[in-house]
Amino acid sequence: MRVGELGPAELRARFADPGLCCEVGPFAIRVKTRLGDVARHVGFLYSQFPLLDGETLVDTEVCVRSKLPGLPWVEITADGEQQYDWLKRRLAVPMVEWTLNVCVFQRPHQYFMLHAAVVERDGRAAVLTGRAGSGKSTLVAALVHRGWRLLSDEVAPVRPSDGRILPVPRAIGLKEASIEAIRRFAPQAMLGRSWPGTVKGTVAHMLPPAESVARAAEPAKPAWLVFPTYDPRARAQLQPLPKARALMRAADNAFNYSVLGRLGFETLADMIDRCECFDLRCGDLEAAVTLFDELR
Amino acid sequence: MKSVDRRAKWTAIQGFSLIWRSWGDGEFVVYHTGSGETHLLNEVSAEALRQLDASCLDARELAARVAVSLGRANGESLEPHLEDLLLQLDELGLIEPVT
Repeated sequence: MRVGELGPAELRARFADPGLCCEVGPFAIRVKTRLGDVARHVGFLYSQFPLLDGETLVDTEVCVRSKLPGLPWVEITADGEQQYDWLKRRLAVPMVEWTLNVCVFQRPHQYFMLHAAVVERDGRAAVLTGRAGSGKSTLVAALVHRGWRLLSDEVAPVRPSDGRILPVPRAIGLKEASIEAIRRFAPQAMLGRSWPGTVKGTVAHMLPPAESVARAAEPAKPAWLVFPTYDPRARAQLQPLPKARALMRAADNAFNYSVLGRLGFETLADMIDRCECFDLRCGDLEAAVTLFDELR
Repeated sequence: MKSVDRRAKWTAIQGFSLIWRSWGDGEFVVYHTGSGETHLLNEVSAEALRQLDASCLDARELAARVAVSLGRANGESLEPHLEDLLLQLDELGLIEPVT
């Protein structure tokens, strides 16, 4: 059963107690709240994911509680540890997503965790890595409307034993001008409501395609490692990048490179072995998507 | 400005391994199991570090070995560069003087 198959009352009851549990790729999460608006919006973001039994042992439990009845302030905890206190209630949903990013999707050290957005076609994955604001989320949001499967918007968990990337096809977080850019590029995209006033400006989430969620148990081999840079004046171009330099830059974008030590180095180096590496400068989404379509 | 003692012999830091990767384009990455740091090296720096991982050498000996290994005519032109390199590799904790 999927989260979206629950009726509104049942969804709200689940969130309240014992918390809504669902399976997101290799991870299990629980979100607990009695706040109806938070439950509704978080439920929407995970509507396509398999529902898990409420008592499931999860990777992280995130709770959103009202600070004082009737006042618009909340606190968010993860596994009992406070993440946000006296947070404006209208920011609760994007902050639940950020809490899940930090507490679930960056922690598991059995994988090499690269900060990256990942799409796949014909069994070969394109890994877009780079700092916040480089345009990777916008680009993958566009690519999944042009025949690519979404593996992840935020993190690429690379399995050291075979170098494959495990899908974590959560909703794609879009910011500021990217929201309108995707509405224009793919009018059929399912976007949740916009959340203005976050530290990253206005944020909206694009639902993952149902097929990507249905195939969340299918890992993919990395074939291309791309470092995008958003530059509105640039002509879209994939510039080959020497592999040693690509390794150094990718290591900078990993969440647990230093934690894994030699295993992290060897996992990343093996990934670089398999990948063609590119710098991508682009400002035009259509032109960038065309470049990806030409990758063979 | 620091300068290297030309008579001093150097070696790679003992007790740890250097894990190498390269892709045939003249650049190398090396992971140092002691520090957990990864370094990007060009051909000359990489060869110098490999030589110091195998032997204790002073700057002149190192220049000669690197020149032979890379097919350069002689090591003399490399020597000033390698003296600077020795200081850099020392600062990075990749080599140490032999006492």
